[in-house]
Amino acid sequence: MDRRERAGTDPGERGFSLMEVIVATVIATLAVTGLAYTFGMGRGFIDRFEVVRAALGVAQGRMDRLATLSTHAPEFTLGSHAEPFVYQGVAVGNETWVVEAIDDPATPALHGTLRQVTVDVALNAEGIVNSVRLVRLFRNT
Amino acid sequence: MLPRSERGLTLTEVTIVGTLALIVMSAIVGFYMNSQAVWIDASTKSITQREATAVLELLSQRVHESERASVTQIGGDSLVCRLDLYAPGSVTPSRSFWWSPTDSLVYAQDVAGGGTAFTVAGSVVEKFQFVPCVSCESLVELKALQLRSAQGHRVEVSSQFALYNR
Repeated sequence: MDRRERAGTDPGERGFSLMEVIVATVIATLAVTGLAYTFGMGRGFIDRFEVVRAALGVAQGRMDRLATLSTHAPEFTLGSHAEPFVYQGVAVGNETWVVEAIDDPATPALHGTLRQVTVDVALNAEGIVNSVRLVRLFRNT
Repeated sequence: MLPRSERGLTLTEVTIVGTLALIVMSAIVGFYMNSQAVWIDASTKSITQREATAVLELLSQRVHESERASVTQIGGDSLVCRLDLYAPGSVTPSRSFWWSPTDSLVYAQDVAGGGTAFTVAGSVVEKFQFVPCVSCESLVELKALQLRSAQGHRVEVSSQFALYNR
């Protein structure tokens, strides 16, 4: 005589064993925690990209500012330049732009007249380091 | 004595089951409401961010096409401005962007093309701040464009735009 027969219940009235309930609870908890985590992650991404969008505006602005200057301006001296990247009054990263003399083999007529500027805005948003990079060629003026 | 299948439930059993069901339902409804709130919050914030980027793109495109620009503060408040853009050779503004005090939105108008004014973003604009210049020679500096989402989040961007059509 097995336990079920001893208890006098048929299989349809057996209910759940403690182990089944524990396993089901653990699975349900994992599923809900996973779901909640994806919400948190999504929210984090949105906050992160908010600062990245601002960084892109700053990088584009730097390129436009350089475009209005003569290549003899201090901002165009060869090498690296840096300024803090401030978002909503808080310095959250660095804006650097590197000026290099460059020759484009495809356009020999422009030999010695080009400068390549790489603007990099590196920022720490939501604990993750991101960077936005723009590269542009300027003709010596 | 009734057989087990016809015995029904005691009041205690019903009370316990009801209480447990209430607890479970409260948890599910709470989770759903919270999820919904987080979703709406993040969604409106994301829309506001996209609007800020779209305004930057529009300003960039319009300023690049212009020969010169002028920036005036609205109502003596340095936080909100009016930007007038001039096509090459034109003495009157060909395009304008301004902050409206009636609804706190930023409007744009293609004056030369006879277009009507339209809002550049649906979100409330708290700052539309440029570096003032009577006749900006080569560069228009947007110090701050701050939008507020429907849920109250603030999104701020800044940039500079060159007048390429000089």
